[in-house]
Amino acid sequence: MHELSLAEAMIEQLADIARDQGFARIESIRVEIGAMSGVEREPFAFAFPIVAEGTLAEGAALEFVEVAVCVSCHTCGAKTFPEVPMILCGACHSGDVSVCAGGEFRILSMEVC
Amino acid sequence: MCKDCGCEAGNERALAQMGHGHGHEHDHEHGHSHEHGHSHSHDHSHDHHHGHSHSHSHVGQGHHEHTHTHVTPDGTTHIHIHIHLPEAAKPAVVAAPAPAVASKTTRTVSVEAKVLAENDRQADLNRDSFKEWGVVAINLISSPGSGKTRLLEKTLDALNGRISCAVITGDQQTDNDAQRLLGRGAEVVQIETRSACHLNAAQVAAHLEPVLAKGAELLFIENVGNLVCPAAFDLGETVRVALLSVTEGEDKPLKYPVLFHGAPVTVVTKIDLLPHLQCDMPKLRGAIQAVRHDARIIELSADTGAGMAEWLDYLTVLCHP
Repeated sequence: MHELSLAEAMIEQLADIARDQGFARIESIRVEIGAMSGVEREPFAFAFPIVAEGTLAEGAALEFVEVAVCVSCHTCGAKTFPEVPMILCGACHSGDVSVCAGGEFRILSMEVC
Repeated sequence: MCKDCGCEAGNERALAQMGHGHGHEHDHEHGHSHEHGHSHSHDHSHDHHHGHSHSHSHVGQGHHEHTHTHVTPDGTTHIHIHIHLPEAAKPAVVAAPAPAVASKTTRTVSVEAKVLAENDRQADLNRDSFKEWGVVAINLISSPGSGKTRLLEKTLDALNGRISCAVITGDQQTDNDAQRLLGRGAEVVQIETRSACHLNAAQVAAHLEPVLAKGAELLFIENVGNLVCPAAFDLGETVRVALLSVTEGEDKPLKYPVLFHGAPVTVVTKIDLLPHLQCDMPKLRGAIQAVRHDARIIELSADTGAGMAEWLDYLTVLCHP
């Protein structure tokens, strides 16, 4: 349940920005979550309101943008979206690939007032 | 160094207005990842390919912001504020654009920061410390009971007098692991994480001085036994090593691909138990390679010593390339 630590880290960052900029409240937060980020949506959404209590983000809505795993193949050059957990090229099945998307866990934006 | 704007990523909130002016041409869409390749704090004007006003300021080292105001034909004012925090690394691909619309009363602030930016920053500092002190740091991650501490006992014994070692070991409670590792020629520090299910970079940083003070060359960081959470936290290690015991099932790497993909080395432990199990070793190796094709797989038994030579050689080459 490292999602609790992650929710804390996110709220700390956003509350700092909100305070510095003089925003009164954070109304919603848009979060990008990759299929290989090691972060699960549900526990994160569960932890968030608990950690947000008493902060500028209390009651804020969470919006997730999910990112599929994308690999770029060093053998055939294709960019494909493998069926996780297999980290293999979808075109030639080579394992010699780099993950080019899917590891993200980022705050994209927030709506404030 | 902030990858976005090139400014030093020190204290994010230290105010440091440097103030110089210039103009640059700026062709962009809204609600996207925003890469700025300039390395200074400034106020400047932008030449835009769409109609809106734009101001740009840097409020501190590594903290960079700019604001756009759009007025649409119906008279609605949209304000967008882009804030760029320093972060260790940006993903190469941003899959989905952020919403480009804000109402009259609320504002959309584009943040674009990794949630773990603070941990990653500390991990980078740890990496620098390891380089400075000439230490190879190994982050050992596995499920509970896969044999991390047993492997370390035997490894410390074998390397005693050859390579100077140190250990930071993490558990939720007790210093049992530290007790087991004492008296083997290595400095040992136990971190009790309490409710936390992983070590983070700041915890490691706080224990580096005492554990490395005697000039260790090789630091083992024995993470909390857990295949999920530790995988998300960079500790600044030189190498991440996953352990997988033969009793755990051949498909474990497929069940926990984030960890096994992130580990260049997987040590398969307890191979002395193979005669008593149904474990299919080619299948297990295949599962590791399916999530990381170039994984180095070392099979061993810390108890019988089988395969230990390969592990010790690997460590020796890491320390004395």
